[in-house]
Amino acid sequence: MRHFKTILTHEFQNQIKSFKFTLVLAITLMVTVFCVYIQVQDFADRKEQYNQQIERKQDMLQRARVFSEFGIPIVIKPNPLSIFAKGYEEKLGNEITISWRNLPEFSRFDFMRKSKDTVGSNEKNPYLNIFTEFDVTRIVIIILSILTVFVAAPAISGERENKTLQLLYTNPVGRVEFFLAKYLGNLITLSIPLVFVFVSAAAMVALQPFIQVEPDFFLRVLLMMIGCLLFISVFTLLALIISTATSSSSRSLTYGLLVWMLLVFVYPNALQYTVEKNMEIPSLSRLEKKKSELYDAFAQAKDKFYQNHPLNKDRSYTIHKGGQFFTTFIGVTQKYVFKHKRKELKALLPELFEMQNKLMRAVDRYRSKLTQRQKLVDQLSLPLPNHLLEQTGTKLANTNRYARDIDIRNQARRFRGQVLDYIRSKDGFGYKFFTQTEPIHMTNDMEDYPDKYFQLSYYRKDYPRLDLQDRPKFTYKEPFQFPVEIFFLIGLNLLLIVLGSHLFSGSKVI
Amino acid sequence: MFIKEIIIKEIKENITTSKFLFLAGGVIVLFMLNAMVSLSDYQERLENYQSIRRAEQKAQKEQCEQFSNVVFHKLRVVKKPSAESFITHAKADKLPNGVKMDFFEISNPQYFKPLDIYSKSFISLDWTNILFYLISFLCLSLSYNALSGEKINRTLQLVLSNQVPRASVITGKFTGLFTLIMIPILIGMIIHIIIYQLSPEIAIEKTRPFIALFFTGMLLFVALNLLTGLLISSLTKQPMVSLSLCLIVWLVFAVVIPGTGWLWSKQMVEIQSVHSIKVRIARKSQELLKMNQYSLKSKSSWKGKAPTEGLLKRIHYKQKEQEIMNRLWHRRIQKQFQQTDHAIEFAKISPYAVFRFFGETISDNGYSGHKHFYHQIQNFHSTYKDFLRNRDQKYEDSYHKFWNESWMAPHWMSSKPINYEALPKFTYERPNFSETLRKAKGNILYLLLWCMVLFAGTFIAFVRYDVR
Repeated sequence: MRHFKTILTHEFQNQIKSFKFTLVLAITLMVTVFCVYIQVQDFADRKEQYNQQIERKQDMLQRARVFSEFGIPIVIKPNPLSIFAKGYEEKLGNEITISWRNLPEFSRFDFMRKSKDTVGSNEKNPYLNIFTEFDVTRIVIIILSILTVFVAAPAISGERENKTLQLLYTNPVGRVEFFLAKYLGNLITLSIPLVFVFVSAAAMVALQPFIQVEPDFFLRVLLMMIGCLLFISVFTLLALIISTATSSSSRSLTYGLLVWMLLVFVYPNALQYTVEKNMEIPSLSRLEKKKSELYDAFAQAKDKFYQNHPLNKDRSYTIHKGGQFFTTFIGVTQKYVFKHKRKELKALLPELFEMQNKLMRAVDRYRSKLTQRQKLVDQLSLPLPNHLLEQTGTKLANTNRYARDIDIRNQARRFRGQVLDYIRSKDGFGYKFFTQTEPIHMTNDMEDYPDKYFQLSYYRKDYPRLDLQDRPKFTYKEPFQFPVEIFFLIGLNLLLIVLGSHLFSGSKVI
Repeated sequence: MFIKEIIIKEIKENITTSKFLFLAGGVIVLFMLNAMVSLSDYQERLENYQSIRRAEQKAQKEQCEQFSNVVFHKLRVVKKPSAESFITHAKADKLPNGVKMDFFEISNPQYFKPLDIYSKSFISLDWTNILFYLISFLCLSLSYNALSGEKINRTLQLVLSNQVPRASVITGKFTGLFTLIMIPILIGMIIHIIIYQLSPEIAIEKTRPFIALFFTGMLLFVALNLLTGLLISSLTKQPMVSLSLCLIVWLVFAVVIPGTGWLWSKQMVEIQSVHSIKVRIARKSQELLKMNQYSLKSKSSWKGKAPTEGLLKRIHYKQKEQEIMNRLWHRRIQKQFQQTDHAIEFAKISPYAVFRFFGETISDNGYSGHKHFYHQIQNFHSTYKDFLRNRDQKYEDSYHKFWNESWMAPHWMSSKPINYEALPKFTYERPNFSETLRKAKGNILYLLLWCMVLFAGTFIAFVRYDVR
């Protein structure tokens, strides 16, 4: 390996001085700065929205005078790492309402909630779905990879074309040595724009006054950069292998671009397309049917409760509305309402929770069917370097499906258990569910409040707010997922190094 | 002069190259695949659409037993799938396809189709995408060394020494390459049309004018790509440099600009959050309620009685509230449209994006189709409302008051049945050919302008080209 260092230095110096390199550097920097700048602005908007959500959360908590009104929205902070790998960050929503009434689900899967506007409940403009997301990982996958081919594809064929390869072999240079030196020389050259991309993006993110980065932010960015370097290395090796097999630099570049197109555009898109066309989306109707069955069962329990009740004789006193879990009364004294409501609650609340648990299980089954398509796509994409990088990026940024969907919902479910226990401990499922008036102070002539008529709360305007100082607090714990895909990328690199060296050893010099 | 010879030479030289054969074969296979996939896809979407329509008709017929039921009935209205989606699919799967509406309001657009929220965005197989990615790539890979390559081989010097005018060289090269590239495209398109012709589900006769219109734009798009390659080739001396520049141009115009326009538009048009709209509605509602205070306490038995003064106040309040709600939600959707329009306008800096949205306009799919559908829904809603209002005037048992409280209002409306056939029905009408032409005209002119500028640029650059 006497000449290894010389060839490497020569290759590096040659590449770095070339017009191509300046062009690559300029393009990557330009695109990165533009995209990251706009993504940062977009992040500022999301942060603003998040602040509004937090205000609303505080307002919701402060407003509650009785426990029927008590609910805590869990709001997940926008993640600055999503600028590097967006994943599912904006797709599934960032708010789950925790209360006795709602399932701990993102609004799209919350079948207990009367959602008037499917699109309206989603903050993102749905029509912008026609455009592609552009994050830092995507810049590396699409732009830096093509530029890698552009830089590395003529590396060997160019030498062959200029006859310098022939000249070089007049010296005692090992072929493997030559191939490895070429590879490392190109990789080091290409790592410069990559470092620029990450350093500029990280600086643009970290220096914003409205972005507070977590202590492990830089470590995660560094790991992402290592993933990207391994990805670039795969494309460098592919380009060199093509260069080994071709005689002219423009031909190697053309074939290199074809391979790039195949890996970055054709295969992933054809795969997603084929899977989506052949695996149907599970129909929602079965889930809807299950939902109505559970609602019917609950309605039956309600009817059973009412069977021997005096109110049953004159139903005009009561109103049963579709979304209303319990009964609303008209024209009876509040004392009577409270007395009756407590009985109703005691009898029907366990039924309601049971129904919710069953519905949650049904939603989970549906979700698991729904994710099967994407799981298959992911499995079939495993050998693809771009897929491996995407997985690495989203895992490190915590924007993959596990972090944005499964883990958040699991944390929300555990938290709901704590909230329900807390309500029980405060007698919140007793008379405090509706009123703060102690039962013994209730009188027959208590006035009612028309604006509250259709809710479950009955209180005087001078009631104090609920004291919720000791309520359970939700802290979102971000999981740390080690991206095992990095090992796959390393494996792929090793495989290509062996293959490339072998092919180059057997290739013609002229 | 010599043009014919140059054309033939250009075709002969390239037709046997591996890159041409590989890409041309790929193009034909993709056109065939697209024909088969889009046919089954269209049938599937049509079935979904028809089943929703049938269910809606049945539900509406049931409600017709009583006038007041029809007023409150939430009608699902769905956009008919485009028969021309093979031209551009335009991510139609990711966009809402219908609304719910009653007398009082139109809901925000909704998804009346199975929706996979975990699905990743991908490039679908359609004519526009085949041309956008493969043909543009083929054009650039054939044209990048058309002049610089000949200069390196010294053949250009030889040709020009034979008194061949430079105009003939450039025209011949362009025409030759253009003809060559059109071969796989035409074969692919003809196979596609034959497959469609054989299918009884598609009325290909109705689609033909749109295909012809797309074909015009497609010719310009192919020309544009070739001229870009030729211009770069005539500005450079080395094929490697030409290829590099072609690559960069393709990357910037086909990937970067169309992919980042939306980020820009998000900064330009602000959309109110759902929460802030709800807060505004609640505030306005409170203000109105204060002005129209009405207690329900006195309304324990209202059946068969005329609305009291108190109730009239409530009606006024509810109607105003509905008006405000409709206005605010409508404005939000308009803002969403405006934001998307800005993103499209920005993307249209690139002629590649122009071509993509041109395809979308023609196929009446994706965003363009959805926007058109939404405007039709608005018109239909006013017709529907007018019809119900007029019908209500004829009922003697009605107090002619409409307000959105289904538990209370029906008592003051007529309980007589209504003839289902007389109800206005919504049928989605895709823009006809002249309307589509009017919409697509700008895109065609823009592409034509690009072609003319590039041709003039290529010509000037080649006239000044030093062939030594």
